[in-house]
Amino acid sequence: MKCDKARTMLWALCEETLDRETADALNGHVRSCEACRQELAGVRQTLGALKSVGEIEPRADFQDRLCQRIDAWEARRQVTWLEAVTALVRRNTRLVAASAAAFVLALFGGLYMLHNAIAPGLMVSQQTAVSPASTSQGTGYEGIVPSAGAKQNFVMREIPYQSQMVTVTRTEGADTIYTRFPAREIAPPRGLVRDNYVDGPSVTPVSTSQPIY
Amino acid sequence: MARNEADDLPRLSEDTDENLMLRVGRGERAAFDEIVRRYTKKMVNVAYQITGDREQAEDIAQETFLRAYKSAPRYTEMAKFSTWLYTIAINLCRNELRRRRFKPYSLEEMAEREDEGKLRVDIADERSKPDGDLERKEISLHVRRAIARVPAKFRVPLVLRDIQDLSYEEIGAMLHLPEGTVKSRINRARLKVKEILTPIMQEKPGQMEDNDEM
Repeated sequence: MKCDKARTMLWALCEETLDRETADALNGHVRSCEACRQELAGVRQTLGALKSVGEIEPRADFQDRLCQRIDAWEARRQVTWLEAVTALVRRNTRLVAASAAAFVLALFGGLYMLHNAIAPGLMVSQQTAVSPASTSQGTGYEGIVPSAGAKQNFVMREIPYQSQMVTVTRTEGADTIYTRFPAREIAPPRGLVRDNYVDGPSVTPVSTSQPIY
Repeated sequence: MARNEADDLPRLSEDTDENLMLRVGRGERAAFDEIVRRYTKKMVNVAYQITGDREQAEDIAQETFLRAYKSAPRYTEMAKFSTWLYTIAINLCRNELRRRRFKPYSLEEMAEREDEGKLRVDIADERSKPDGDLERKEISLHVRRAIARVPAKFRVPLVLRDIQDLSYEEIGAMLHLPEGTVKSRINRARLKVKEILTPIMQEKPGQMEDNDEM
């Protein structure tokens, strides 16, 4: 074993983390090499010195002081959330009022949009009413494709429209809307073409270029 | 294992750290007192060896326990409790060292100021004791100064390994470092300490050899 390699392992030798074969080889080298023997002595002295650093004793009142801090924290934590809210409102009356108003506005605005809006810019090229009988699987009402060959291009999603859920099917060229009816007796929502409502799996597409919103 | 007859739980002094922490989470304050009893000295000393400041070491140890107590209801046995507790203490020490960069004196100066003051007190208190004790304290002071001169990045794993006697694996978990990186940092720190101590050892060979416990 060469000195360079031996010196990288001296700390590990002192910590007894080398495997037996390596430790034997290293000990053999150290016995025959004065410089490495001195280096090993220095390593041992350093480790010994580090391990001999004395410990300090915590102050006698350490635990009492800690208990006081914990008690203080516990006391603060027991303030109820209602008290915290009341205090907040008292301190920031205007801010709280403005936040509440903004929240109410946002809530009603969101509900209104959900009720009426369909994705902006959606143009309808075909409208077809599809009865539940044409449902294939799942909770969605998969419409039967009016034009042959378009089925593979379907991406379906449900959107709210006039208090109903309608299924929008995006095909390559345009968007096709199928209404989803929970039962046959329920008429298609206003704005869709009532006359072309068909029962059963066959559907009749109705072409239009008018947006439905 | 002896158990409380009332609730069939092990006695506090015989329960594991992890179980004690779960008991703290269920509101058993006495279980936390037991944890504090077990770890106070370790936490104070690890913080002292890293920061070199006794006052701050106690503050850090207090804050460590307080944070552990606050986290008790959410505590799950994902890691060894001691590893978790040490990790909190080390992070607080690191914060303190970062904050201290902006202070007008260095860590080493602080360690010297404190240790020299403490040494004078110790000398005054221990006149009647054999000379060996004073020599040991002097050596301890030299070693502390040497440790303080090691950059924090290398000092922390050195303290955990060579003074706190933790395994490389535990240190890796605490510092979020691979074991190889931990070993390499400890090695660099040891070489630095050795470089600082060698001239002193040569000056006082007898004292240092007495100190050699390996």
